[in-house]
Amino acid sequence: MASIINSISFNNFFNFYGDYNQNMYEFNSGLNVIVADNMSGKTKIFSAFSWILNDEVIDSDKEINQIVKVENFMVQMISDKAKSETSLDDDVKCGVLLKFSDENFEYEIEKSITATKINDGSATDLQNWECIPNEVNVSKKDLSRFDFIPIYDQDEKLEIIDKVIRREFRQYSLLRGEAVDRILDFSNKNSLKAAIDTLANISKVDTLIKLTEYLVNRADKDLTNERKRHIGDKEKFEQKVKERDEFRKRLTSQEKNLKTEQQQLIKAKAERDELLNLVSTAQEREKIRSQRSLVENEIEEKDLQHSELLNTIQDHFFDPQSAWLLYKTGHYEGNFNKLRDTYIEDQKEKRIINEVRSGDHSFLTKLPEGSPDSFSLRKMLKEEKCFVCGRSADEHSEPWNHIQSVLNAHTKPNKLHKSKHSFNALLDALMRSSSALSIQIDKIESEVSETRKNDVKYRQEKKKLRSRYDDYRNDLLGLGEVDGHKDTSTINQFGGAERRVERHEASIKEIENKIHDLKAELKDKNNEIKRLSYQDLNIVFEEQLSILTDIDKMANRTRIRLMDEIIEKLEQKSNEYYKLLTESSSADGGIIRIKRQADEIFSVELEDKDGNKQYGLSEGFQRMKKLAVIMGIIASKEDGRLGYPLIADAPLSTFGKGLIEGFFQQVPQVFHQSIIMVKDLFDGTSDDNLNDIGKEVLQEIKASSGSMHLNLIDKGQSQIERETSIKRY
Amino acid sequence: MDGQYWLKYLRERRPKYAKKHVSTLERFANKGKSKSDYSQFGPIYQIYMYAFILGFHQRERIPLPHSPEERITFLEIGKWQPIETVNYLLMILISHDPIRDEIGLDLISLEEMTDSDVQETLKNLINIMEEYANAGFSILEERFESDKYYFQEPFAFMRLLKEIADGKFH
Repeated sequence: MASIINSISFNNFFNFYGDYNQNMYEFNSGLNVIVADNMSGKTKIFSAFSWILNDEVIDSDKEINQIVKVENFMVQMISDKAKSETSLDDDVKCGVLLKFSDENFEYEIEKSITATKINDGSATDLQNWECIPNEVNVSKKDLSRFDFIPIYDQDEKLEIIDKVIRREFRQYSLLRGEAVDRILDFSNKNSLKAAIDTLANISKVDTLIKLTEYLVNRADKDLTNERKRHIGDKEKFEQKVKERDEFRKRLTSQEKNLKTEQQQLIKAKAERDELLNLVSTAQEREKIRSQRSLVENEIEEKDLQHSELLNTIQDHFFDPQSAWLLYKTGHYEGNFNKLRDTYIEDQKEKRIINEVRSGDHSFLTKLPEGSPDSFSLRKMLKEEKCFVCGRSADEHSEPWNHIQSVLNAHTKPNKLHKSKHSFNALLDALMRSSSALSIQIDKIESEVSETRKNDVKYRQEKKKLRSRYDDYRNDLLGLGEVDGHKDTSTINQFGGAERRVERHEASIKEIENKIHDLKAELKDKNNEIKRLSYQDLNIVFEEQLSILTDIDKMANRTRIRLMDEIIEKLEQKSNEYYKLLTESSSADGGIIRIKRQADEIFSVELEDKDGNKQYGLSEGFQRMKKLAVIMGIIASKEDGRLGYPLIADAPLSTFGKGLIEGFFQQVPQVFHQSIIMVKDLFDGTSDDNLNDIGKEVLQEIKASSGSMHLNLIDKGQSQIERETSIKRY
Repeated sequence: MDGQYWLKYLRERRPKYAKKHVSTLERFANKGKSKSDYSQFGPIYQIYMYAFILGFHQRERIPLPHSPEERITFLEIGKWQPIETVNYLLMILISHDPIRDEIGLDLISLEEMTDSDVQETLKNLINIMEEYANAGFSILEERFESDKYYFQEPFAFMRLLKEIADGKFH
């Protein structure tokens, strides 16, 4: 009993300015695509379906789109342009009209509101409007007749709305991107079970199980009463029954605990597995951050050392240990020494002349012929070597002192001539300073060169470190840079999930042991009760209990078998779709495995062909997995196709090119009609505003029965003037 | 008077520089202020000694302006640091033959001259030092004018000194 949406049209609904005739999308069975760039009305169209079906719209002005009740969002739903054209006390209507048909009838549903402008002022100010919802108009027409008949009965109206997409199927049929994740939240026990229940009517078996459980309890009570009737020691019997019932109660309680723990274990495992995809990247990022931080410290240290080197360069000019200021002045020391020697010689000569004049000849002491001159003697002292014998003469050693005494004898006058002035002390003071610096002056050139080399070395090292830092930064960008705290939080969450898994596993083991012991004790108690009974107990009661227990077991096994069969079929179907959906992608998406984790709890995982769990697949694959399971659920029904349309808003935002192609090829196989609002086929630079995949999809639609529309909006216009125009390909 | 006296006399001299070089001195002498964009020396006497050595290597002297208003007298030589370097520069001055010839610095003759004659000779020695330093400041300014970023390089002062001392400055 498939229903087909024939058209949806808008009257002053959001950017769809004008009446229904101006804003209409006409659909056929098969694939219907509405291509629109961002902010061009995709979500508004989805909102229109959502209004008709659920009385809700999407508030896309929020950072994260929110579903809001129509009654709380009426003014915002009305076209700003229409509002701005409405005068004080005048009305403006906003509505959505949906036409659909099934095998026998054509239907029209119109939901609308009327807004009255009650204050002058901004058209977008909520305070200036009073809105009331209009009566929902529903009408139907027998396909063999010409006229629509209005429906007045509220229940019938709801029944007709339900025919578009039945309430229980809407979650699989009315999809918005991320909503797919919520539909099948595999960490939620009820998610997959609910889907199976919806589509496979397993609840009938559940009813049977409830009945058999009731009958078993009843038969047990009857048997107990019968035994009681035949018992001799009634008091003892009652005590034993009481004890047994206590054990039963404890067993039931433990079984309940076991289920809770199993459920929590599944949840913790799902959380851990989900985080495992993230944690390896987070750990990798943390590792890189830590390495980057080390490099940062190294750069800081090198910067400090380099700055110290550069900041002390000027100090080298005046530090006596460096004396760079005196670069290439070493030869002045020789000049100075000659000057000093000459001065002393002149003084001696002057003294001799004076003493000759005064008749004193004791001054006539002189070095023997061939002795070194005073310059050579000073050089010998400086270089700590005797040039006469060629042996070394360390400073203050005996030979060195001897050379010094020879120099003194040669240069120092024994008796100074009394002149007005003398400059010996001045020259001596300058000489002492010059000797202290003279050795250093020869080293300046090499020291400067060495310092320059160090400067270059620091620059090169820093350049290398900065390049490493950039590499780490690029690595982080490659891994999708996020706030470091977020990664720490992910790692901690993962650790927490792992600990929870361990804790629940330990608890399950403990409870299972308790259950085992309780069952053994219960058996003992039952035997004790049996032994207290008379032998001639009516066997019918025992047989009755035994037969009903067997039936109960059979019903439970049937349920498990039935579910296993459904799951097997679902897994097979899901994989068929998953393969088709992902075959255009270059990456290996693995195989979907639906596993029974506990009594009614299933997990859906991706494994490789060797049965190893696959991690690190993109979000696109994860969403395709869920979409494939949804398709699988639908296709597990007898006819393999859902009798309702799929209405989806941009579910492809995280898909790659290959996955998008797969999506458009496979969706028509499962849904007899699909209406997909999508940005990913749009290309504003192309003549027809379609990209390559869009052109391919259009060709396929033209070859079959669907439709393709394009939403265009003049983004240059102010919001208040903005309206969406619709083009049909 | 003995050598100690005349050494003391020399150290009591307070050299002068042309007022027009104040901005250069401020640019390149940190004087304990915060860091600038340029390589800098510490106190003024350091940049002064540096300017002297530039002028001396270049054998270029520029007389200071005559007007006392256009000249600034600063710290006495005896307070310059380090004393070894200051003495070394005095030694260079005294041992340079052309200078001695110019100012008649013949020690043996000076022994018999009057105090004021010796003082005059030593003052002339300091004047020559001032003229070399004055030329040195001009060299610094010339380099700065031709390349505003030259002295932002940490080795700039050494580069310039080397260029001049190696006879490559024109």
